[in-house]
Amino acid sequence: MSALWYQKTAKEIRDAVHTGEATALDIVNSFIAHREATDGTIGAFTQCWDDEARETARSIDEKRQQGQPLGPLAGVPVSLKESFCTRLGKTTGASRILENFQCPYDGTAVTRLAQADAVFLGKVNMDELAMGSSTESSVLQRTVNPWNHDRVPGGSSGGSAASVAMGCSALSLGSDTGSSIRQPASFSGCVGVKPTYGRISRFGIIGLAPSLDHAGPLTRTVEDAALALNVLCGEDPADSTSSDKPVPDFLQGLSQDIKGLKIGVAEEYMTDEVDEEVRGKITEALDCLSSLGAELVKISLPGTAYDAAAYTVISTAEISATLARLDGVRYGMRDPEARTVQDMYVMSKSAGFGPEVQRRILLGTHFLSGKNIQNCFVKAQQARSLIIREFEEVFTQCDVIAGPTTPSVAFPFGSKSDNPVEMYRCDRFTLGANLATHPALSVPCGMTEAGLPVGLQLQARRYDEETLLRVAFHYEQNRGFDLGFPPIS
Amino acid sequence: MQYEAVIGMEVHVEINCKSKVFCGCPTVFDAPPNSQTCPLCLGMPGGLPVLNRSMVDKSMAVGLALNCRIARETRMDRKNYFYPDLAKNYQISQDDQPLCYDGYLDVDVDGEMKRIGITRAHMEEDTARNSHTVGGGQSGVDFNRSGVALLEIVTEPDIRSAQEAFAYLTALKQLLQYLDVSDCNMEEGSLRAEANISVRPVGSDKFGTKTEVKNVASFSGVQKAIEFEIARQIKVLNDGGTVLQETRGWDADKGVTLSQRLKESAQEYRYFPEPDVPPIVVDDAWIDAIQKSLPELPTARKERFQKEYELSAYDAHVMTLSRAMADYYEAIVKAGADPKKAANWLMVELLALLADAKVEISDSPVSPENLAALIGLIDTNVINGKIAKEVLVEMFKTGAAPAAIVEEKGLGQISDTSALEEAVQAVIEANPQQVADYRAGKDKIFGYFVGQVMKATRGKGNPQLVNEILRRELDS
Amino acid sequence: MDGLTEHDIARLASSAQLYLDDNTRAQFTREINKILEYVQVLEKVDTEGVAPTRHATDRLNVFREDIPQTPLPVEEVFKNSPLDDGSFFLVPRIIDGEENS
Ligand SMILES: [Zn+2]
Repeated sequence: MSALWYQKTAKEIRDAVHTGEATALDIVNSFIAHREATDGTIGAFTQCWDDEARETARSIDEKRQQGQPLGPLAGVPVSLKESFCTRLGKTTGASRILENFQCPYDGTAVTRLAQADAVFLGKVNMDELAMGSSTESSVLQRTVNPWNHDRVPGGSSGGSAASVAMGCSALSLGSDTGSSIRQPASFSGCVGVKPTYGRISRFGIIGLAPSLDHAGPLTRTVEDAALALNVLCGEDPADSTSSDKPVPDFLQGLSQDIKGLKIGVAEEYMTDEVDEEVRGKITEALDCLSSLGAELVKISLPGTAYDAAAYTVISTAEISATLARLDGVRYGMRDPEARTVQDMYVMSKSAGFGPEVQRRILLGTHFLSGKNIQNCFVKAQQARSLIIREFEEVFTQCDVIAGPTTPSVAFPFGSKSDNPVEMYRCDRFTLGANLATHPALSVPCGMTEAGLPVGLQLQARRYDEETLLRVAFHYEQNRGFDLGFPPIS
Repeated sequence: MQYEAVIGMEVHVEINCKSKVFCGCPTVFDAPPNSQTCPLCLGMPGGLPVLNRSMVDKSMAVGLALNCRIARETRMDRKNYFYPDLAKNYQISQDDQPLCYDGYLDVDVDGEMKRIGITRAHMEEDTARNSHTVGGGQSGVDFNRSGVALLEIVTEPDIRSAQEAFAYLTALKQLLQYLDVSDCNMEEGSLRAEANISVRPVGSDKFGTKTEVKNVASFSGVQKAIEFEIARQIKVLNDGGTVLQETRGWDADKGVTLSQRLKESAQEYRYFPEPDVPPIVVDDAWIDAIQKSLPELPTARKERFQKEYELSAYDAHVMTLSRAMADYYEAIVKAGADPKKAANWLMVELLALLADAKVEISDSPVSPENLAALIGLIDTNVINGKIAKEVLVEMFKTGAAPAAIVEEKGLGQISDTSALEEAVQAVIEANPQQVADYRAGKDKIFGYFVGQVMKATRGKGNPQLVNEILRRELDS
Repeated sequence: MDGLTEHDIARLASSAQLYLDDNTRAQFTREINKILEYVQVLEKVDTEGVAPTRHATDRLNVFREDIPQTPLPVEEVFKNSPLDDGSFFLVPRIIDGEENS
């Protein structure tokens, strides 16, 4: 039995540690053994902190023995996306330019997890500096989709999603600027939540586009996501944009039924461009919600036609400034051959950044140059206002919006990485929640014939994670299938 | 052709917050290099700026003192450029919505009031400091200054001469010191001034091509640099040349400005709103609170000194040169000294001692209360003015109270009539010829007798009494 | 929005301190023009009189008190430095006046 702890949920694990049914050390060992057996193929983990993890587990067990109170994530094995700053190990952002960066501090989300007695197993792969939808742009290694090794796990939090789906961590910390938690959760078959902007501090995350960046958990169940959000959410004096709104107990909020809730179904999310099989699974999910007493209402989100464009302009503009600091002066890669300041910058950046990062920096620089600031950047910010308004209006008609997370399932390696437009367009259902800052999640809603997971995206009003999680939880309890674990090859 | 100069000033002043503007690093000057840094001001990934409230308060105080309007809604922006002293390769600054705008400062130029328009004053973070002394063909960067609170104050092109520029800087520094928001030390770099200079034919309303003069370490340097630059530009034009738009550095040793960088086209900073810092909204209550907290400013204080203490314009000017001076002066008056005598003693005697010893008035070993007591000793005829000067020198050396010094050294004035009568008698007896001359109508030699009596009493004779007794004895 | 030439891309690269070889420049020019074409959809959005969303946060006036905190220990400051002398970060010699500010 003890060997199978990796199959348990975070909630089951922490309950077992709290009651003494299992030791944190046994649990951690189970996860480490499972990772050793599987991750050679999957490639999710970029750093393994086995010794430190066992050390933490032992100290948790000791704490329990001494009768000290344990945190709400006691003994829960956690993996961290490479973009989360930690004193332990390296913080690379999966980029050449930060290959050896040892951060001198822990970010707030990491600190909160540690204070809740979570156990860090190590770090996991991502697209370089969180730019991408397939984890293919990582310079560290290749991560495969645990359900089909010829396909991508999604991105940018691909390592997080793959490690959770595979059972190599019970919880993973990811970040989401346009889709980066929900899309890999959908592709790899796990739950991924992007809460309201400001709910989780951004302090200590390698920033990308600060007005769009969100942190969030990837888990195997909705209940685990609620448990993680209880720990992660809250005001942080180190992040001026973190919300000071009170944080409810998300676990407690799950139980109430969903009778009478209005579920909005947008025609824009169910067009021909969405794979037929995906549409089929979403329709089944909607039927399930309806059978639970929720009322389906038709809504319209015409802004979906241009939110990818607004997103592209705003995100690349912010990226071009935010990443400027990676210059090889105070940390990071520097070519010792550089003889002038200019050479130093150019050589560091040209060798340190991959093509996707360079392309976005160039685009962002373009959007902020001369008249483009007004014609493109401010125009995109105005379009963002319209998108926000549109969602506000729609949320007077419904409580939750339901639809596919992505128009298609995980794609094969190399099929989209040379087509940036196609890659951006894949994210078009998820971008709205980043632009309008309301919470959204992806929960598995079935498998295609070919054995690839499909994700149901739910979105709710700003700060209404409670309703969002409640709908997802009741759906998950009643969806009529158990995703289980990918086969170990 | 006759030319006139058109000058605008940009002053960067470090605001004396105890911590940096967006992080908690301390701001002690001269700390070891890079010892006052953190992930944020080193531009490490994941750091987020949190605005120092004191910076906003102090910047607003400067704005109000400069008669500016205060933006009701404002924000921080990112100013993008690459330079090794810029930790993030963007500076958090303010672009089109400065906190303070549309103000003015009245400046005394040789007794004439000149109004200099203030375009804006905006908040930003300072850059790191580059050091060229590390050798090996390399430069060193010290990030202690990175992120220190900085206020940039920009004038309208209202200044017409180097002298006006000097007067503006002097008045601005005086104001900032009154507000206690900066130590304004140019040598330490806490105040940095740049001048935008152009010339045009007198009567023209168009602007000529301007140059920007930087790297000046003192106000008099600014004045000299502007003088040089105006003459240089006029010569270029008179020789049929054109002035190039460029940045020029002041070489204080050679007394010339030298071209540093051509500005072919406006530098693109790609400003956009800083998403990491929430907007700033200023309401009436906030502005009122800052307005109420402002100290009395130099101009108002000077006018009050003229009215309340009946000081001359010049005396009032000197007494209000700095807040410390004005505070010192008012403390003397408050301790009971006559306002005019207080001004005299402070200006003529104490300032000279301070200047000789190179001591600031705020560190004066003579307290205002003791100076008032010294004046009191003269008023009550315990000592005369001449002795008082000696006592003040002693007070400056030891910090002791004047009465104690007078007591200890036996410097008290002789107001004992019989003792003075004796001395007078002795002088009369010793100078029969002079007495005869005087009595014959030679009034002018009365002073001679006074001098002889004072000499006999070693200066301690009460001058009024000495006069009275002499007159009585000689005229009898 | 007109398309960008390879020259435009080179100019952007120079602003962003990137070096692009000929092939990359040609490839980026193609890709970026494709993206710009796609972004053109924004031109059709009627944003007349719409205030831009400049911040994602709904908070206003978030400040910290002016209280100094302990800075990083010097060994941590230089832990990741590519080049330093224990006091200063070292960079190739900066020529006076080439600064932009
Ligand atoms: Zn700092």
